[in-house]
Amino acid sequence: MPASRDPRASALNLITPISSRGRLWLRFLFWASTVLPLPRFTVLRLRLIHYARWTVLGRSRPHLCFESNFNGTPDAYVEAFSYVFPLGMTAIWGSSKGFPGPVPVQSLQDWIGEGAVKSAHYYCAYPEASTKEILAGLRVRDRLRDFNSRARDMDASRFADEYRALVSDLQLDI
Amino acid sequence: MSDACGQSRALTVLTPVKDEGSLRAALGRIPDEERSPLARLPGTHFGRWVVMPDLGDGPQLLFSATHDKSDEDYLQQIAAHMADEADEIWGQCEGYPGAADRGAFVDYLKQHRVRTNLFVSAYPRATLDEVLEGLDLRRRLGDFAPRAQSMDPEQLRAEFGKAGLA
Repeated sequence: MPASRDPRASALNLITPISSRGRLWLRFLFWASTVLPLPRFTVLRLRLIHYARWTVLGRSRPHLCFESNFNGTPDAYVEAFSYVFPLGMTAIWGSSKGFPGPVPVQSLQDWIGEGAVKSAHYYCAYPEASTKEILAGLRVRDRLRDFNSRARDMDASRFADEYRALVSDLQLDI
Repeated sequence: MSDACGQSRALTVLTPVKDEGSLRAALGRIPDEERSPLARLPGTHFGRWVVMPDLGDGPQLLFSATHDKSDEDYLQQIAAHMADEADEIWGQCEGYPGAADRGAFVDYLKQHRVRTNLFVSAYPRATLDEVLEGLDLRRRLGDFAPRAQSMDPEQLRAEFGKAGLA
């Protein structure tokens, strides 16, 4: 399956032809997804995706363009997606030509491989960082800001106690 | 349509290609990773160029970027920070006016902009600077914590500052 290489961040561009009726369905589905948090939450629960977008292209021959920036290998990504988001996958790609369904995974991976287009150039500002590491870093940043704003008024003994409590809280993030 | 998710912005531009061979050659010459011209665009989390398969309207070039600037600022910055590469790449597309005329360049990208139907982000409230700062602080604290275990309070406070954590 073609996807731009990056040690942590990978790109997937999936272009699939859709029917005219599928175009209408997707417009409704994507609109509903912007007002209902559940679909986004489910997709992001994977903690594999940095950013993803869906765009319907073309008028005479409509296509669905899916772009994703994710961690790990494309095959592992697709497999995880199919297990965590099977109904969502069917709702989105069910109107794409030849969509085999979320399972069996091999059929899905083969279908995605046929529709995937390699990026001619791919850039990531933090190629070595996984989504989990970024989220952990943001939590560390927020907690350190809070700690430092309070530390100004602390004597050394209290500073040490508060610091150790901070590190204990953040042990899974560092 | 949703081109925004918290602080994150999705830019998608689809331009008709006049010379696919020259376009692919130009894209092949772009250096990777930190030497990519996209690294010069402030606020750029991800970016890509994709030579699209024929969707019925002839060959097209897709440019997509995920950033945390205003739409107008970001388009201006493309002309300001990577004019040469823009000319090399979009110069292979029909109707491209050149980056020297910044107004015409921005109008060209706006004219060919495609609105995203759904855009999701794992960290929608974080700018690029915040992501990078968070990663740096996480690394610093992870390095500091083991050696801080044996420090007395005075030393701990002093070394905490020296470690760039204060």
